Amino acid sequence: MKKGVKKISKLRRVARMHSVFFLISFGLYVALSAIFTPAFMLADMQTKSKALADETITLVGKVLDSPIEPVVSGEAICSNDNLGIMLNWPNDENSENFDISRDGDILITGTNGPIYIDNQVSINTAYSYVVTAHGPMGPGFAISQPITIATPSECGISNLLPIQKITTFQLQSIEAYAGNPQTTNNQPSFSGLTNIPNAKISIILHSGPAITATTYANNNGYWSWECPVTLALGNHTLYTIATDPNDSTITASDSFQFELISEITAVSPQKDTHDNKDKKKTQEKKQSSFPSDVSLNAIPSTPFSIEVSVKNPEHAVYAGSDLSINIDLLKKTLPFPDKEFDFTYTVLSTDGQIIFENSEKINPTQINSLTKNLAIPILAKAGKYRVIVQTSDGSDFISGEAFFQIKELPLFSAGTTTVSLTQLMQSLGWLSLLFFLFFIILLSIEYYQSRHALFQITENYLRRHGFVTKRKGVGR
Amino acid sequence: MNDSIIILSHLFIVIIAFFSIAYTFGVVWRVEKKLDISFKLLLVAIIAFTVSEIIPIFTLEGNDLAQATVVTAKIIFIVFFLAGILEMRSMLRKMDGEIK
Repeated sequence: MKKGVKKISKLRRVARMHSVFFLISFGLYVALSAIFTPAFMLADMQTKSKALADETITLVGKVLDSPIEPVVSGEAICSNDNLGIMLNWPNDENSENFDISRDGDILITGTNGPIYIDNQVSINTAYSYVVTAHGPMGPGFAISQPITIATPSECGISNLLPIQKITTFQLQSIEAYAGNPQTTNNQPSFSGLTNIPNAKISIILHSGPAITATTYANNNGYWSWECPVTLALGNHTLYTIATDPNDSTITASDSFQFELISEITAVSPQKDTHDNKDKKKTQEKKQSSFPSDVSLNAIPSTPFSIEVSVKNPEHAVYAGSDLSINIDLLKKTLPFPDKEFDFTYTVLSTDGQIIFENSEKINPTQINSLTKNLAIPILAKAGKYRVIVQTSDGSDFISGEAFFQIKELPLFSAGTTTVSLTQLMQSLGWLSLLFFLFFIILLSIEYYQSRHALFQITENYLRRHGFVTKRKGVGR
Repeated sequence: MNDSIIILSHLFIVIIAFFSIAYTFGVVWRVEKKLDISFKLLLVAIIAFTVSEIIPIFTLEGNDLAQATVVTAKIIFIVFFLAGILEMRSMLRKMDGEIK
């Protein structure tokens, strides 16, 4: 034992070692969680505290409760050769609006309920519905149990005309605006419904800047779009046309006028004067489909539009592989501007997280179509994603988007069990903690053993104990 | 599948690096003077190398801050590794009588 070292009892020594290594491991655990976040306790605590800080509480005379889980009932109806499925659920004062999903895909969002009739059904088919109630009080939503309803095997259905309707503006049903849609959000969002499954939705918004976009409806005919650029204050008109992907002659259109106001105007609402009532009536008249024989080409728009389509089979790609997309540049105006545009490629998840972003300069005069391969990160989570191709020259904004699925890369499989890389990464947090504890134990064993050494090794010690020998051929 | 092998290799490297850190600590606790200094320099090098291997596992491609951190860690690793080797070399040269 070294001189000057106090002899302490074994119990105190063990207790001291335990407290030191606990403090080190806890400190490193907290530090790692602050840096790397996945599945660490501190990140979870941070997320919870931020959620509480961002929570909005609305007092409306009495304190509302969180939305109640809708208890949905429904039946198939066939009247006047119209086939449909009627869903209804109890009214709930804690809920502001409802989203309805059919067979796993969104059917409609922002509906007021408590009744909804789904007319986009076929005979002798079963559909599964889930209703999600949204309200202001935390957690903010309540999801119903799925309900399956089958349509009858017979119903004289008359030939359905293609329909396309803009159903929500700023996540609220159009009807809720009572003919006077206004918003202070200068990048408003819209959603709509068409009876053409997987329809191509062409969008034009022209009132400064000119915006052209294309997106696709899902299998239920539901589509959504958020304006990607800041709009100026004042009146704007949104035009949409849904086109059947299998027959471009089958189209349906709708338009929607809204007003973008400043927050100061919003705070002091106008009184319902005679002039305002007239204004509302004029606006109500404008909330209708524009004539179907008016093509998009007749509406002032951008010099070209972008259509994006996913080339990967089944519109699915493994994490770590390349997403192959085809980009068609459809010319609209002549003469076509001969200049380079900055094209941006973005891949983002349904909750808006960007997992890929890249840009390049392209002159659309020289090409009508191009194919791009975008590298999907190996750790991207499985799910539905959007790929957006967009460009702007300051006055015009053009974009196109398509949807695809990312599948997890299988790492290894044993029988029926398959473990993917993402699953391994998700459990990596706990594995890392266990390994880190093992590392601390290994370190403590090394330290404990070194404290039991009799000697401290130095160069002189090595020389004196024969660890250093003369080189061969060198005389004594 | 090749990407999976690369990720698993990275994990293997990190695990072995942690073992190296633990045993290098053991050597540092057992030696003194020049040996102590050289192994401490090697210890800093192995810790920086471990950090440079951990960061890419937890970050997505295109993260500039992460890339800069990895490059910095690799520079620290090689600089301190060289310093440790030079220190050991200086000690050995004194021990074998090349220099006094």
